[in-house]
Amino acid sequence: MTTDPGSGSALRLSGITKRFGAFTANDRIDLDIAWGEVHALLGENGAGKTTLMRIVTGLYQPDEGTMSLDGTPVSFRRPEQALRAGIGMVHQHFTLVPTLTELENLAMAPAGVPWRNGRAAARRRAAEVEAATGLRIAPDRLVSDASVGERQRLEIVKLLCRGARLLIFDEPSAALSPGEWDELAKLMRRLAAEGHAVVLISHKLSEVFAVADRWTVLRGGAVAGTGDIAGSTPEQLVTLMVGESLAPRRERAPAAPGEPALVVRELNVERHPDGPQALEDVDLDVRAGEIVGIAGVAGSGQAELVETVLGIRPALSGSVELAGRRLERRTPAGFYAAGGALIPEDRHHVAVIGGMTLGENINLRALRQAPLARRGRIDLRAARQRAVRLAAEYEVRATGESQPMARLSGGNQQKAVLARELSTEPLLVIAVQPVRGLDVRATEFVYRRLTEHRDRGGAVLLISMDLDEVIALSDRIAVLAHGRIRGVLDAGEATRARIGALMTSSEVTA
Amino acid sequence: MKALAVRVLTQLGVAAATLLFAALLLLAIGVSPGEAASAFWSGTFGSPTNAGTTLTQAVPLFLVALGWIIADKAGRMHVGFPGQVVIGGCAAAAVGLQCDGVPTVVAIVACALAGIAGGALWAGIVAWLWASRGVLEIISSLLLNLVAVQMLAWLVRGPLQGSLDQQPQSANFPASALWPAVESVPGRTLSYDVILLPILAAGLIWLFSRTVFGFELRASGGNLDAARWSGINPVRAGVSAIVISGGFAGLAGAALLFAGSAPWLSEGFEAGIGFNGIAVALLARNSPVGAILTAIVFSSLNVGGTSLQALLDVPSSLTSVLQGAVIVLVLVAAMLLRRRRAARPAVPVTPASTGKELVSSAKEA
Repeated sequence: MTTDPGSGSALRLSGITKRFGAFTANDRIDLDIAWGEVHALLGENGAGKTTLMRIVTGLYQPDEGTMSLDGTPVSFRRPEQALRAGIGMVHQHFTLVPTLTELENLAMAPAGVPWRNGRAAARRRAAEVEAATGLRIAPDRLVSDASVGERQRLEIVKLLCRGARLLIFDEPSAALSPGEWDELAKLMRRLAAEGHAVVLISHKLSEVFAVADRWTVLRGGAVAGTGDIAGSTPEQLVTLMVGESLAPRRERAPAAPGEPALVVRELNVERHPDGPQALEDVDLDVRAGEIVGIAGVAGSGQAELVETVLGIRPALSGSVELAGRRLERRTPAGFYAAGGALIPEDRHHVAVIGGMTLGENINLRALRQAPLARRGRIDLRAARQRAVRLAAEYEVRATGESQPMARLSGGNQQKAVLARELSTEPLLVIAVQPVRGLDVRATEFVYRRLTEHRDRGGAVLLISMDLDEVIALSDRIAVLAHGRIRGVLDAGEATRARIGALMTSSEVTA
Repeated sequence: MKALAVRVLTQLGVAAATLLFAALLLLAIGVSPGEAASAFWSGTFGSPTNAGTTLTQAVPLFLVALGWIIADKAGRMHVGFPGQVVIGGCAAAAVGLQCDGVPTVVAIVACALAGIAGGALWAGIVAWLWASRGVLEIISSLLLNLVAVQMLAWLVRGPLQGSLDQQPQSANFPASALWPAVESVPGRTLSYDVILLPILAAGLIWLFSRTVFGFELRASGGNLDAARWSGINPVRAGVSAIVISGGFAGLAGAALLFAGSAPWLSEGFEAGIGFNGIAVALLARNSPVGAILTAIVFSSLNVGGTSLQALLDVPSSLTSVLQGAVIVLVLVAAMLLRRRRAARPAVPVTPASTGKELVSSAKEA
């Protein structure tokens, strides 16, 4: 995997600087991307990757420095100009209209004359792209019916149709299942082989080492290093990203499981009235003092399991016991009162309230009961003190507890959620993809907190699509596929191969 | 400090623009702006009598504004205030008409409670449709306004009609039911209900910041799903907010009748208070204290318009034009302020901690 010597320089940035007020987001960045290579751009949250890519795609204009494409200097005032020059970005959040078909989404390009019907041209361009790259779309399917992977593919086709030659992927795997990621990795290699340039922004070193030819690490807004993947080690890149070597993951004390914390018996949950069930006869035990991981590809019933235990979703049959007490009429309030806590997957929609302050978000549950509230009245001073203390303890970086939650970065929001959920000394923590989108340091922090919780005798149910995460953290691993628990493995015997085999096994073996 | 200065300057600019606009309008219809200004001043605050009228008329506007604020904080944007004012007023009138000979204190409390109950019940229909059937509160409340107006038309021609003549209005309320006014103000135009302005504003601020109930309202309004996932019952919060909001509007209806200049129930008694109250809240940007000021501004436009008409023969529709101009100009100012804020990212305290914030706030934008 070395750079093709025949390919020329595609995009060259030299001395790019971007300041916001007194803060320098990009500091004299030099970057060289060649045609035919996959170039990984790495860095912690806030290292300046997003700002740099916004400059490249014309959303921001640099304060200093120059850009050249194919050797000719360019400067983009608007995103359309960058796209016309052949630079396109696949965003984390797709820019598709769900109520239109895939073809109509393709046809939505800016047209020369407004009344021209772009469908025929779009169909022709899509066919050309398919011939060149093998990327096939379903032209007449509504985008809302497409899976996340299919939407991402459409997004890529859209950029290729508009003539993008340099494609930037912003954490493309965040929404994908492992299988979809493998497809995408292959596609990136194919695009590079055809002479496109691909920039991959990612937190996951395993992905970078699987597809990239070269890497550049940003730290604190400046380039910390650049080089070929061949001849580099993950440890080297991590060191560059965080600027110091993180302590290696501790050898963990063996689990000392105690009383059962969560007991799920024969849980059946409906997905659609006349489709396969979301969960079928699910039995699950999580004991105090252990971490139980749920491995499975996205859509195997994880979301339904969480929502049913929490009490948002009704079950057809089955029982849920928390701390030895059967939850009869399940409600979120009852779940929390029984000693549960939840770090949800979808932070923006169900975990934080962007318009309220950091302190109010940290105290979202504690504020409504003693000691912070008595007879319906809130002790504001105690609430502030608690928020400040927890924000410091959980390393939430903010200007103060009264900063609006929406102003915090994703990693800091997640730490605030962690502070809220772990500070109540819960018996059981359900953590769903707890490190999604976090940088290396924040990830390590979350893992440490969850492990500490387990060592203190708490129970953790870890639900993740990332197999490595499940294997690294769990004491026992339950494999969930198509709504059924296919087997439960001890940490010692769990390997990727065994878990994979259980995922694909068609009959229940547990 | 600088931000505050910018805000004050912008607001002064809005005021200046409004005055300029008013002056041009007056010139266009051939009235001297100077004379109009003095007529406006004497009509609104020039004498204790007129100042009393202005302040008293601000109360119903303010009550409706509070109703909007509480519902909006809970994320429930209903526009049923005209209907709730009307039904609250009808309920209060029905009770008030029976209060002849009842001790004043009892009569006042009974009328106020009847108004609150009427408005809350009417809003309760909206809340029930939303909670049980998922009917959008903005639509059901808008349609129920029409029902309320027809109900009032029937009541003043039927059960509540005064016996003396065939006018579509009720008999005069007994003196014991009327809300007391400050005796030292000539004409007794200043009703004691103006003390509701500071008391309720403070009460609402306390409710939002210091009570679990207020916190749950704000959480439900901020992110309904997140509230539900953290154990709050957002349906209960939303229903409570709509019902309380209707209670405020109903009280406004009672205040219009028992503290106003016309002590009887008539078809047009609502006089646009329901929708103007929303404008009052919007201009105050949902601040209860700000709503006191904007309510007084709105009522002075009403009262001053009347005196312009009386003294200088300026058409009363001009007042409505001015009110509209104020709303548009204030919205423009708010937009300018917001754009200014967006263009200039918050300056971080320490570079290390804010790199993330800058990026993420840019992401949000």
